[in-house]
Amino acid sequence: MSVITVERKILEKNDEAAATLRTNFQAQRLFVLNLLSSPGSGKTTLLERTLEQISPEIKTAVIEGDVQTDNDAQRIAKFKAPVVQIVTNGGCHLDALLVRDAVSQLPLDGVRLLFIENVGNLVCPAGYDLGENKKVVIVSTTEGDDKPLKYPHMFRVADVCVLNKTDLLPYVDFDVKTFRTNAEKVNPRLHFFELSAKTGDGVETWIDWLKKQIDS
Amino acid sequence: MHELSLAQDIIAIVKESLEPQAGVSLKTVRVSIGEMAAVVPELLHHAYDALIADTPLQGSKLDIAIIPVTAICHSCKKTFGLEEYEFLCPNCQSSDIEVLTGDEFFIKDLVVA
Repeated sequence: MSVITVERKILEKNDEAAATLRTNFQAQRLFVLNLLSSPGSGKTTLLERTLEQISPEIKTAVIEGDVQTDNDAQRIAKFKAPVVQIVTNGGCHLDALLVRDAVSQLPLDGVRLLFIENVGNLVCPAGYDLGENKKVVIVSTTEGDDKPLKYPHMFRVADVCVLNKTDLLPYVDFDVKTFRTNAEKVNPRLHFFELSAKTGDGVETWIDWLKKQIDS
Repeated sequence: MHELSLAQDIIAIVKESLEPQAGVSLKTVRVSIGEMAAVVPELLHHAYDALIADTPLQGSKLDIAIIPVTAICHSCKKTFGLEEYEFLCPNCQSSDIEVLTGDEFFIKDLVVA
């Protein structure tokens, strides 16, 4: 028996591709957000509301990741934003190689903001760097306020947490204070937004923050 | 359930590492996984075993070492182990802590015969 030393990261190919993407995004002055959540939290609705308010002032592009269908890309295309759909055919997350291919298909001339809507899943996407500036985890009030404790990996890697569907708070057993305390236990550096993508309540603060990120 | 694609990544690295070693037979792949790497060892074992069936790697095994989560507090300078994902210093309750270990996910070495 003998031992061959390897000492290599298993996700090295992803990390290398993500580092290249990050360098290219920076050179293009593109601000990139990786949107992460469970299915049905309202990622696409938040994107629609955001595009409605931010473009054409800030040219925005979208990469949609789904296991099947291009339904989300069709919803986004209505806002005349450049959009590419990645269908993972069963894959539970996007990786940097898939994003690299998608980016090569996007007309990015003049685009300052790029959203990557990840596959709806609070587990696997947490492990994959996509070259983004910030990871945004979206939770809706119809989910439990203990989500951060159940899926700590995701909340730990996130920079921003959007609580969506606040219009439903009177009808659900979701305590915002408990939720924030739970999330802060896992990640004290999380930046919070509370909004309803459906009614538009609280969306302005989100849009202002996005604009600030693009300017800086 | 991304363990299948992770097992594929492992096999790709193993094959590359074995390429210059003609005639050896792989026995064990020693993998280190941090507790916060969001990788389920059992699923990784299953995925690896399924992927190497009827290939030259058949018969080899993964040997998985789990690396616990440790952190240092920048306020009181104490080092401690973290449980339950509460990122607070157990000594002074500061949130100004830095994770030292627990995110790892790498192939350490290969045991061959």
